[in-house]
Amino acid sequence: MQKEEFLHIVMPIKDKLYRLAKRILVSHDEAEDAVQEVYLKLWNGKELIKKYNKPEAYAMTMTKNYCLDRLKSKQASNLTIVHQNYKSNDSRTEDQVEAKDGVGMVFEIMKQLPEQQRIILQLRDVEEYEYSEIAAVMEMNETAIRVNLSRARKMVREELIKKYNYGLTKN
Amino acid sequence: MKKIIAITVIALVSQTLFSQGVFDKFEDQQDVTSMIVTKSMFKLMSKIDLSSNDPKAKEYLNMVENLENIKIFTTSNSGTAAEMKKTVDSYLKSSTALSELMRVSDDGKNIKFYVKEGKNDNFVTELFMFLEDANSKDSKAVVMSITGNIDLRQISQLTADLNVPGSEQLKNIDKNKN
Amino acid sequence: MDLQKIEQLLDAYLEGTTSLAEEKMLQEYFKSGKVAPHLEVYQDMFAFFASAKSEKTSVTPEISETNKQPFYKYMRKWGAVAALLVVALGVTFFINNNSNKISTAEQIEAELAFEKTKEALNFISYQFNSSAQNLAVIQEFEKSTNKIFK
Repeated sequence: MQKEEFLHIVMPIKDKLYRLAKRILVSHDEAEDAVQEVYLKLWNGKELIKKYNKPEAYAMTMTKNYCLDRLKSKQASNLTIVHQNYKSNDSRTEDQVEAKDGVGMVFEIMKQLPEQQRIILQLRDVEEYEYSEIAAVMEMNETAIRVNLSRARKMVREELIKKYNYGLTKN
Repeated sequence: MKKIIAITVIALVSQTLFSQGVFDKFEDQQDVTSMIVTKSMFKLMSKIDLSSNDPKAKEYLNMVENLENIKIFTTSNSGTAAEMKKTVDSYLKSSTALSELMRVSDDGKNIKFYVKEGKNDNFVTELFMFLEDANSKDSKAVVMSITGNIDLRQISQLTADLNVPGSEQLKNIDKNKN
Repeated sequence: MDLQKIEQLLDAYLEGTTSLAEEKMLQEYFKSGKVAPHLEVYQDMFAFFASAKSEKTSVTPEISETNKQPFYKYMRKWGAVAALLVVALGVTFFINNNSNKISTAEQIEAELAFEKTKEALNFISYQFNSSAQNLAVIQEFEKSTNKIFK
């Protein structure tokens, strides 16, 4: 496989890969490092990509697995993912000004979700994958996907209501 | 006719580096006992586990290590014996490197020793013996050739302890020489 | 859109049973800004997801055309051969170094040949010595005869 063919596959999905990485690793820098690694892995195994009907799913799976591994090894070495100020973490995104506003809170809440739910929520609500596509990336069956999705969404709502009420009562 | 052709063919085919390949024709003859030992067998011998038998074995092995070939042809048939003599004569004539060492004639028994020069006076590269004994039943003629790096003193030493008739006199002679 | 419909969809949404098309409808509703007060909490959720969609990265694959890949392929192909050669050489070396050991069969053969060789050497040695000794006697005889005849 030549460079062009490879880029043709990877370039359209690079942002998705990044977003998934960031959803798992939280840090922007970490996510970019991870994506670079994933590119390398994909290139080294470029003969394999050809065998997949959906190279995107393959790439996303690889990203997911790599990032989860990174997460585990970070936890193993007792590095906690610092509860970062949303603003400083993503200084590029302009839509988040105050950490305490509703949208910022969703980000915080998502961080608290178990990785699996976090990823599935990301793939559905942000990337708008079909259930079958999510199943392919997660290597789980669709029922399990739906169950996780349901749990995740409910959790976010619960937590939001809690903080919302808190915010409301405070005000 | 067949015999002549066979001999010629064999002689041609068996043109080895060792000129005494000329005797190989006797190998296949019915009334000839032959023994041929080659260097590869000598090599194997040197690896024999010596722990068994004979203390003198080491002596032999030391000698054997330096040998290339041993060939012996013995016949009990006087006709074949005469043939052998002819072959020996032509062999000795054809080879300029072989020189007579000694010959003894005694009681119908003839022995000739020929040698090819070695690195010094005590060494030869070939020791050739032809024995004719019209009176013997089993060995009317014996052709023996040893090639390699041969120390004649060692050869002699092998049976020096045996009671060779007259060996007493030999010792005395040495003493008396002075 | 009909509030009742939205609420139905939201229930399905929370159960994870909505289709992408239905979720799209929800997104549209919550984007519009005209949201029923008790549903405001969902507004933040959907707003978050909408904004998250636009996150991008500037990181692109840096591929050097001097591929590592051929090397791995090469190694995979020839590595096995090389490894085999090394093993074969090692075995040969080992065997050669241990060549002082010979098999029992070879030992027996060699011992037999050795016995025969000893016989042959003894034979020629004997003949040689007796001939030489004969000569010595003759020489001595010649000497003594010379003495006599001098």
